[in-house]
Amino acid sequence: MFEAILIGNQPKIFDGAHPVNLRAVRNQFDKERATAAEVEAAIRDTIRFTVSDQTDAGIDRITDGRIRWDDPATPLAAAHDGFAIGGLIRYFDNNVYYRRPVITGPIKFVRSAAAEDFRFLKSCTDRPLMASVCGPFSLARFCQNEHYQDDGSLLADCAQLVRRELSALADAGAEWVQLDEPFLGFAPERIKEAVAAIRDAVDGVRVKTLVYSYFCSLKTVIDPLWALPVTAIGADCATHPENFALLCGGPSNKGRCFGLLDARTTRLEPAGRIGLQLERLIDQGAGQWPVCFVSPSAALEFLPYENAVRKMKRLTEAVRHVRQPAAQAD
Amino acid sequence: MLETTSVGSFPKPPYLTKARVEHQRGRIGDTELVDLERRATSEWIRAQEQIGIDILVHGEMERGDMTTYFAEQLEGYGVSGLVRSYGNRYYRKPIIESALVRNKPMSVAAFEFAQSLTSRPVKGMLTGPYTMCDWSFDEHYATRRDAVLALAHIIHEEVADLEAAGARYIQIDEPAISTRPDEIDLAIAAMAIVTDGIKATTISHICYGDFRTIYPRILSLPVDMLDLEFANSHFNNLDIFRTPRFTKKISVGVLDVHSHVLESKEQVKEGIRRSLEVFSPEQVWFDPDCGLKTRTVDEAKDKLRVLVEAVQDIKREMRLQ
Repeated sequence: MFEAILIGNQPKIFDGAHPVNLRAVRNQFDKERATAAEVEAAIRDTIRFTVSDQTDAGIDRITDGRIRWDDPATPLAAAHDGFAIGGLIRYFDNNVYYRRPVITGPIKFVRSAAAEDFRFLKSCTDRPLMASVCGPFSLARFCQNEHYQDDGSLLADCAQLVRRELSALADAGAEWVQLDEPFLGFAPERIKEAVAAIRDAVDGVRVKTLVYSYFCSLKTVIDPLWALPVTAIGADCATHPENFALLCGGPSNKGRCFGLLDARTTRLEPAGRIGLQLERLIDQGAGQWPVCFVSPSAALEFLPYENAVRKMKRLTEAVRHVRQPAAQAD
Repeated sequence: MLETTSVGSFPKPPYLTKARVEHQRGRIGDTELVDLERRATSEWIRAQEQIGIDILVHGEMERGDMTTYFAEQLEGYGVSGLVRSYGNRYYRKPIIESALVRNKPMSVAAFEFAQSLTSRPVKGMLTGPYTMCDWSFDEHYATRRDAVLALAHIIHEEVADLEAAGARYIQIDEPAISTRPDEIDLAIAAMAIVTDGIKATTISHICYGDFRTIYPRILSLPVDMLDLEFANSHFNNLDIFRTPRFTKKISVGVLDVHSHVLESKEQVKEGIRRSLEVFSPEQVWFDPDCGLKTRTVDEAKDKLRVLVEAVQDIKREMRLQ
């Protein structure tokens, strides 16, 4: 009934746990002491190890950990026309920064930013996979618009861009794609436009889609989201516990993803607490939903590697416990 | 009027970077490392004097990360594994593991040494309680408020010690303050504890956030001056401070610290002119957007040189010199 998945970026360095150090190779590249090919090899090795960590922990759908991506938006800005890379800005309320893309011309799809890494991910494992890409509403919000005269045109072109990325991922063999939409709860007054943009991006695409929002409450925006032609809706239920009940309250024909473990604290949730939440989900009818994902609240890259692995394992232990209560009792 | 200063950190010279690694590996002792930190501090004090900076900083040669440095000196803190902050840059994020206690001054010796090298004022430099909490993992306190206020009392003790050591300017950095607008009152309450009874000029540096969300409430932060970044956003955020009128003193960041590209004097002068459309000459200082530690030593010096030359030109234009 439950599938354990991860959201977004995973730690890119392993504190010596695996024989690759992407940080060091990138530092060497900056000093012109390593080649682009060596950086690429280190990225691929890092993806292999994040896949093996997820597999060892028992994650049900494996991701590439977005090892190549530092944030959800700039890789798209780098891959497609219409963007420049601007000044540094903080990534929500985290001590993490990214260079904000600036929209300087009409947004046009050039080549997929996500499909090649997905193909590589597929070559690393036989397990079920989860691809990911930024959703159209949050893509527009991550960027500084200096081209479009109105938000409607901006969102329409962001939606088409994301649609092409989804199609490229479908062509690459993706079954599921997680769409990052962290801004949904931060702009309740824009929810109609957000829903329209997501609909334009996903309607009729050949992949199952999970729209996932984090760092915010969906209290004022959840109702229109249920009408989206997506397979599942998910939210951060750790820092915004009200999202748990909001997600439970939707129609039974929609899948859900519950972000149960706080991805921004090293405090490890007690196993019993996660177990109780899973039992509540069963009581709420999780068995009737098309899918019930459980996950950390956001990207585990906010944590040191060791803590990220602990959170991953805590999640999968709880799921296993619910799946096999008799075996656990023995 | 129109003084020049720096935000805090300068790049470490290669000999010090190497020595810090050697120290971590146990190949050199504390005394040898401190000697090299003092040598680097002396070089930066001399460089700032030669360039013509008015209010100096000691350059933070003894610090790695602005949170971790203080956390390592406080009882109750541990330090985590590496966490990414930007691009390929990582830091060891502190973890609050038990009740926090300050057993000794943390920044006074570095201030006293730097001030002993120059007749110009050197700023005392600290990280504020809100940012210390926000950039730490907390496994001890029941609420964020509890952690922030505990840190505020500790940092007040440090500020009082810096003042007693002769610091005329004390900067309490709060770069995280704009990240949760709903907690601005908590940050203000904490700063009120930090600056309570302090006579020195107090400054708070805030950067890379959305100032729109905290203005004008941030004017209630109990410090004399705010130090904000503007060059990174091409001065577009100046408009935020037109209405209502900005009532504190302000240090305006006119150099992009995250670019290797050296600004031209004309670019910096244009930024200064635009700032003076919003702030009065009596209330404004100029500096880089943030600490220059991510630049090379030469890049940092070149940027400071352009800053001073641009300000001098503007002073001449305004007949202030």
